[in-house]
Amino acid sequence: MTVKLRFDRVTKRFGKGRMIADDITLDVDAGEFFVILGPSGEGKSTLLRMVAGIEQVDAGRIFIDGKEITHLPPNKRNIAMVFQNYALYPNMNVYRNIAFPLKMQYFPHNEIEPKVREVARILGITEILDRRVNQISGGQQQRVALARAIVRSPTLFLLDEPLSNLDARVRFSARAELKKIQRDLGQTFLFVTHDQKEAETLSDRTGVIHQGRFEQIGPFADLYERPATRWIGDFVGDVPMNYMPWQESGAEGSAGFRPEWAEVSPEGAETATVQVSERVGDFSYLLCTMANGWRIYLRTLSSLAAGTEVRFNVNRHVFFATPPDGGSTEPPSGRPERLPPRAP
Amino acid sequence: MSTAAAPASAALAPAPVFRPKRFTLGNIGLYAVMGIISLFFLFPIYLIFLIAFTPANYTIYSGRPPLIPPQLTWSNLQTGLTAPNSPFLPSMFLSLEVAFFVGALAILIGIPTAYGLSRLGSRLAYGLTTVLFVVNMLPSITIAVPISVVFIKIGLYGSPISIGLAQELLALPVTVFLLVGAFQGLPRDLENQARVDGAGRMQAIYGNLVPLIVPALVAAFLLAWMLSWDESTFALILYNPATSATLPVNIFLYFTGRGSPVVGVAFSFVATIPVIILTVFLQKYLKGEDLAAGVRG
Repeated sequence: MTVKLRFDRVTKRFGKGRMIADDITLDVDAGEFFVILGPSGEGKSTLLRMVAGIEQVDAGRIFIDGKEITHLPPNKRNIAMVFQNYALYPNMNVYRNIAFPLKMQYFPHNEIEPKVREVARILGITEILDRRVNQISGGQQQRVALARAIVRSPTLFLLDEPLSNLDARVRFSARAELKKIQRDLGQTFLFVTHDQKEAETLSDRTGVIHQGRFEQIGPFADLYERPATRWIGDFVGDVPMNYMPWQESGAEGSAGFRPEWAEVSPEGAETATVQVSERVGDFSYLLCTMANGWRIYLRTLSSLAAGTEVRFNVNRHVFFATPPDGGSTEPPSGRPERLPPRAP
Repeated sequence: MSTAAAPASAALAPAPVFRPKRFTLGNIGLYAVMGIISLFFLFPIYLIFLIAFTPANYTIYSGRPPLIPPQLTWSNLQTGLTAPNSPFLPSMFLSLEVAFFVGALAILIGIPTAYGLSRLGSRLAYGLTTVLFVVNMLPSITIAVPISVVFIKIGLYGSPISIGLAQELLALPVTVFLLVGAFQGLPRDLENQARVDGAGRMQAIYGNLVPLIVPALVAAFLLAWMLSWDESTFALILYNPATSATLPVNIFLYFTGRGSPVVGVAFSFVATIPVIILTVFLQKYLKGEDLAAGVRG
């Protein structure tokens, strides 16, 4: 695997205090779909903008294809970027929007048109090439922005929450389509999102950023199954991870477990009292309190009334050597909430 | 889900269109007030029209000029505009020359200045824009004299360029102020996108941003143009008596005794025509939204 993009000890802060990137070192492989996941306001976009050259780094270096680009202007970096609001040029129609990057590269005129038509065909927007960009739907705008990124055949794509402005139904199909396009192009995608479903479905690897550092980097399944820290455990997943006091190889700590790792059965070793239950798809999440006051989520096929006593066994767990303090009482910011936040 | 959606769609149902009844008492009062205000502003224009087309013995040379012209005539305009040695045509051309110079220069300098200011922090940008207005805060006459001295030294005194440059002092701050707002109204990512797509900074500004603020540019150009067309202090002190003065200066001179006031009246009348035409044209662009952003979305 060749390294496409390398962050070498990149540091960036906003104003006096807020750390956006704190000594970040990261390699993204060629052809990889790498998702940067994190709560809102963690500076994910800023990382992307530093690669694009729109934001300057405070310290450290950035390499593309082994060549340092830290201080190159954006137009000399040969990258494509899709902004969150698509940033289509309002004074140009769809065709001229897509042709723009080619014009900037002084492509001969007779080569521009076939290229534009080709990407328009791939993205299914041939019929709207003559339209103004404010006359097309959000889904179409997203395709135009993608077409404009693809047309120049760059080898590194930066995408800043490109799906977040779409409504839910369109987003679902756009996600699948984006993955297919990346696979067909075989190029490197660096994708920023706060939506873990997108990270789960799109990424080869996901890096979760928190307070200017990658808290964990790996395939999304690893983040879910083997969170490196309790923060990751709480951030990834529909509901925060559950914790119980635990001892392992002589160390005091806590056992973290996902709701589906616990099995609710009348013979269970642990007991808890149902507070609230919520139907999600074909199962229910039960927010329960354990005898020591800790709150956990369990999963059952049917909802149970508040006050019901349930027994359960924990079949799998992850051990955290952090002191057993009852787990987080609030889900990490930016995480979609399913159930009422746990009271302290 | 469906129960939650129902009230939402009800809230989105088109609101009943508000149609004021035409002739309620309140409305009549409103129209009356609007009529009076309009009359107040239109009356001076009517006076110019009246004096321009009424024989001078009813107006300028009469103790009690009538409000309704007893008789209409072309002779005032003819005397003023076609008399031998009438300075009208050279004066008109000079005024046009200077006004277009001021307008064009305001745009030329205004775009890069406003772009730069719009990219600074808003507090700094406001501070600097205020500094630009310092000259507008001083009476023109106090700076006209030192400016004349400079122009004499560099040999520009009396040229149309000297008048234009002096008037630019007044026009440019207004232009910049207007264009800063227009640039600030553009999404920052449009410029970023253009840069990522391969545009250099100049191409991004002039190729991608400037086309989006055309309404603001038109408004800025016309404001600068009209400011110059109207301006008389700099124009009076900097004009070259050997060649010609701008229209406002000539009007002033004719009314203050260097010729027949009738000629001055004719000049006034002709001088208002381009302004009226431009104002009508300008109205289309002087909507708040255009001045604020120049672009939607």
